[in-house]
Amino acid sequence: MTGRVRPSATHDVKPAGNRGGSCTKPPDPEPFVVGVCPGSLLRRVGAVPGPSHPALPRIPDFQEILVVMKNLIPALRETFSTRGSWMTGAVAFAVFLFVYLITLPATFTGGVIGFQAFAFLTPTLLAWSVFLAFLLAVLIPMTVYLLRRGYRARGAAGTAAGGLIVSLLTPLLCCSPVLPIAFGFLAGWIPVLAGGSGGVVQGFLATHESLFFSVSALLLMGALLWNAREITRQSCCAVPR
Amino acid sequence: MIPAQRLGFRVLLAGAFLFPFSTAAFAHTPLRAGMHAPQAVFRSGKRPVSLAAYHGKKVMLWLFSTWCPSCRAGLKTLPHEQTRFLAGHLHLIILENYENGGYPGPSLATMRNRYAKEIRGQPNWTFGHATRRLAALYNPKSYPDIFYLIHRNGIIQTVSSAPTAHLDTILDFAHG
Repeated sequence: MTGRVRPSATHDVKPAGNRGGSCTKPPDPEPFVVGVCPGSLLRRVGAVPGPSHPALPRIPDFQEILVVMKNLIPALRETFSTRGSWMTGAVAFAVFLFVYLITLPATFTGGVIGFQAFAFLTPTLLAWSVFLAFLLAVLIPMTVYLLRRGYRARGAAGTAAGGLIVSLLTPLLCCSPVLPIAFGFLAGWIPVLAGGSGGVVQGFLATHESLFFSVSALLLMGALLWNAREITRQSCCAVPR
Repeated sequence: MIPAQRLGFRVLLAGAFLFPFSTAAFAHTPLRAGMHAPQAVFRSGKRPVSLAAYHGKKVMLWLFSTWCPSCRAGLKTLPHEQTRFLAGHLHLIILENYENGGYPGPSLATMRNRYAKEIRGQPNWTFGHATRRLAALYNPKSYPDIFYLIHRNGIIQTVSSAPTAHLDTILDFAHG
């Protein structure tokens, strides 16, 4: 990125470096200078002090969500414009599909994961494995794309991690001895956890697995849209070479 | 490592921790391999049945909760090995956990009729409900799925869970 910061020459400008195609830039309240991306990049290097961050994340409204969803296709086009991204996505899909195929059936093996889990794969678990692996296969190249260009990806990475953890832990916790042991251990400090509390939690996990997989998928899709927003926001401000 | 890689590494570490923890958990139950199986009573239908009645027989005592998927899988899988169980003179006692492990689920009769119809009337299968005392002895931590392989002399040979994942152990015990 080139260009100097000229605070006295701030004015409303059209986004520079628009690479064609639709680029719906979310409204940016900050003034910025032609040729200089005002977003996180400058704040990252400390050239311009950023606005104070709110203590809690802001929940986007419907209009913002619509804008973000319109940005998904351009963001995907931008991310997967290189062979490297396709390779990263393919590898991520293969790895996570394998991980899900040996982990999701752990609900039938009492938490034991491994090749023996293949014998307990049901069509539902297979569908969830493919879907979740696909989401991660799209998400990881987008995250790598953002990080390589020095853009923000922390929030989306955290959301994606949440989705991954929820999807992997649900089958491991539901019918294994982990939760009863953990509850028994914690009951020393929190007596209400003694008795049947572990069973209630495990019973709920075991009978609502699809709910947890849906939450996991929503978290991953949220991370996807978050990344798409960052990619299109930054590419609208890119300086043409 | 970039943050995403660091995160993936942490998730893998957590999984690696959970896996051996779950399989080794039964090494620390109050009743362990090598101990005498204590006497207790369970209910089969409306009548009380004592475990002492099975002394001198090879027994698989399995306590499960009917909402547990690994228990359903076990109930589907075990009847397929009936021929080998009969050949090895293995008696299976299948008990619903006390208060079904604290969470509602289908009845034991429903589970038996849905997943284990083929072993109806077989002499080496006994279904029942664990009493509070039996649960306190054999499943004090309220695991949703736990089984004991008890030798003819009353000594516990194996404590484990999820019969489908440990079918080889059960079959070796039956033939031993």
